[in-house]
Amino acid sequence: MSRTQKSNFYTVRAIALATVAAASLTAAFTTGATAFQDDGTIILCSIEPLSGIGTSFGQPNYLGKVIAIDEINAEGGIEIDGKKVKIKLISEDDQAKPDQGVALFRKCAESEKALVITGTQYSRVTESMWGLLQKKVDDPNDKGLQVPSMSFLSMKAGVTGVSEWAFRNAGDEPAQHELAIKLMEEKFGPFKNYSGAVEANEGHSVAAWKAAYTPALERRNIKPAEYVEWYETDRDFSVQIRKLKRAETDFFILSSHLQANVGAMLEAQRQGFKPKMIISHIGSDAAEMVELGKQSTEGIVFPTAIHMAFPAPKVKWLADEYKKRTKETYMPQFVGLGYEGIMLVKEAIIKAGIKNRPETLAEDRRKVRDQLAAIKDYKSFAGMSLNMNANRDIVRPIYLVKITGGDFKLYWTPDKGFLF
Amino acid sequence: MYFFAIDLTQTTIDGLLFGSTYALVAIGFTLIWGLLRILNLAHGVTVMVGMFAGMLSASVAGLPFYVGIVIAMAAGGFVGFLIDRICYRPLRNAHELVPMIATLGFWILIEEVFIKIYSHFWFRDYVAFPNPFDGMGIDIGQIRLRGDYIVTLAVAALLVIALYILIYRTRLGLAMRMIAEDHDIGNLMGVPVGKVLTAAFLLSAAYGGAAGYLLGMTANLAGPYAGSQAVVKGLFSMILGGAGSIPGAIVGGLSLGVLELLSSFLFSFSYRDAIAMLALFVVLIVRPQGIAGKRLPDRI
Repeated sequence: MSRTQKSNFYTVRAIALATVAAASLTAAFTTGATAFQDDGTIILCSIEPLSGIGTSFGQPNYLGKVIAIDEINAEGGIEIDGKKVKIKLISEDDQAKPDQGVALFRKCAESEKALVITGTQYSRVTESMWGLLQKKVDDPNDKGLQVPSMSFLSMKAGVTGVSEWAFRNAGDEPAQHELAIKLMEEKFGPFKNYSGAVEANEGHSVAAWKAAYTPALERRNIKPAEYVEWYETDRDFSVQIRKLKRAETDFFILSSHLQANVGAMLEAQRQGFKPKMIISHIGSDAAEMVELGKQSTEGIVFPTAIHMAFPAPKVKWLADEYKKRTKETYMPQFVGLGYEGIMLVKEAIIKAGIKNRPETLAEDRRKVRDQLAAIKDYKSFAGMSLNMNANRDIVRPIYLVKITGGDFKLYWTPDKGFLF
Repeated sequence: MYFFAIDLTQTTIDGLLFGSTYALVAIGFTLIWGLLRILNLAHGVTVMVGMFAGMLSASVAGLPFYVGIVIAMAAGGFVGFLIDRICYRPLRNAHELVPMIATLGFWILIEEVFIKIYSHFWFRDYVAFPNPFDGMGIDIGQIRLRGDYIVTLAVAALLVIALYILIYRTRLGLAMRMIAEDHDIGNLMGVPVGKVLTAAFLLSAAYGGAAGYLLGMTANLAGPYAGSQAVVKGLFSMILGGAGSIPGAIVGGLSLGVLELLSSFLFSFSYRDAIAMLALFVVLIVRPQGIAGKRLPDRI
C-alpha cells in the first residue's frame, strides 16, 4: 500500500470504528423495556444524578425510592382492578447534565411507557426535562409529552410553573429562608453586615439568591455588604473569601452546594473568616460537608424537610434501612423525600383507579396527574400532614439543621423551637 | 486604599502560585504539540488519574507527599503510554485530525468509565485529598504565602528544570528536538522515532499526573471531573503562552492564574472567564504565536 492508501485506510478504519461505537451506544440507549402490561407491573421511571456531579444528592434520593418500592412490592404491590400489581422502577442516570436528562425523560415517557417519571435533582436538569411536557393540560394545540412527573428535590423557586404535568415534593424555599433569617436574627442578632456567596453556574443557587434571600433582605431594607460568586467546580476561593472578610460580614448567606461550599469554607478557615452566623440551603445537606470540610463547616444552619432525628418510628426504620444498605452514618433529607415521594405516587395511583393496560396509558397518566394535583391531608411517614398547593408544590413544615460537632443536628422544629 | 494595595498584591501572588499547576498541565500539552502537531485531548485523563493515584497513596497508603508525587507521575505516565499505543501509534499515518479525534474519544470513554467506577466505590461527589501543608505558610507583613501553594510552585519549578536538563542535556532530548523539526530527518539520522514519541507521551503524561496531585492537594479534594477542567485550563495556557513552547506553557499557566484571580478581584467573578478569553483574544491578535511562542512562516 502506498502512503496515501495507508492514510486513507487508517482514516476509513477510524471513522468506521467510531460509527460502530456510536451505533452500539445508540442501540444500548434506545432499547426500551418490555411493555409493562405484559409482565404485570406498573412502570415508574427514576431519573437522578447517580454518578458525577450531584451523586451526593441523587444516590440518597434514589435509594429512598428503592426502599419504598421494595416495601410496596414486599406487600404484593398496588391493587389494580382487584389484582395486586408490582412496581418496576427503571433507573436512569442524568449525571446532572440537562441534555442527558432531556434524552432520558423522553426515553422514559416514550420507550419505557412509564406511568410516572420521578426526578430529577438539579433544577437546571429538571427544568430542561419538564420543558418537553405539555404546558397546560387539555391544550389541543400543545403536543408536548403528557406524563405526570414529580421531582423530590429540585428547589428552584417556581420550577413547576413549566408545566401542569409537573409536581414537586421539596419545600417552599423562600419561606424556608425567610424563617431561617428571622429565627437567627431573633436568637443571635442584631447583625451589622449581611453578605452573600452564590454558585453562579447552578440554577437552584442563583434562584435561591434571587427569589428567596434577596427578597428577605429587601423586606428588612438591607443591602448586602458584599456579594461574591463562584462555580461549583472552582478550586481557589481566596479572592471571594477575602472580600467577604474585608466587608466585616457577620451574617453570611451561602447559596451554594457542597462541591464549592467545602472549598470555600476551608479557605475561610485559612483566612480566619468566621462570621457570627452562616445560613445555607439544602445544598449543604451532604456528608462531605463534615467529612471534607471538618471544622470549617461548623455552625452552618440550613433548612430541612425530613431529619433522621424525627420521632416518628418509620423515620428511624428508614434511617436504619438506609444505613444498612449504604454503611453511611447520616441519612440526608433526600432519602426521606425519595421514600415519601414514591408513597405519594402510590397513593395517587390507588386513588386514580387506573387500568394499567397499553390502550389506557394516556388515560391512566391523566388520572394519576389529577390525583397528584388533588393531594390533601396526606399523612406522611415522617409524621406531618402534606397538601399539594395550586403551584403543584407539596406544602410541608420547615425544620432547621445545624452542623455541630461534626454532625448534622436537628436544630429547630415548629413545635419545640430551638433544640439546643 | 491601603487594604486595596495589600489585597491586590496578595491576589497577584496567589495567582502566580496557583497558576503553576496550570503551567504543568500546559507543558504536557505543549510537548505533544511540539513533537507531533496534534492536540492530545486525552491529557486531562492523566491529570485525573494522577490526582486519584496521589489521593490513594496519601489517604489509603499514608505515603508521604514526595512519594505520592512520584506515584501520581507514574500513574499519569502509564496513561500516556496507553494514549500513545491506542490513539497515536495505530493512526500515525492517518490525517493529523484522526489521532486528535481518537484522543477525544479516549478522554470521554475513560472519564465516563472512571465516573461509574468512582460512583460505585465512593458514593460521593468528591473525596478528601490529604494536604500535609494545610495551615502552613509564610507571612511577609500582611501578605501570606500559602504553604501548599509554595510547595506547588517549588515542585513545578523542579519539574521544569528537570525537563530542561532532559531536553538540552540528554540524547533523548536531542532526539526529541530533532523529531520536533522533522520526523523524516530523524528517521534518516537513525533516531528511533516511535520510541522517542512513546517517551514523549510518557513524559507529558507524567507532568499531567503531577499536576493532578498538586491540584487535588491544594483543593483538599479529588473529583472525577478534574481532568475536564484541566484540559480547558491547560489548552488555554498553552495557546496564551505559545503552542509548542515550554517557556510559553509556563508563562501561559502563570498568566492564567493571575488573570483569573485578578479579574475576580478587580471586576467580578462573573466576568472571570470572559476576561481571560478577551485577554487571549487580544494576545492572539497582537502576537498570533502567543506570548513566548515562535512565529511560524505563513503557509500561503
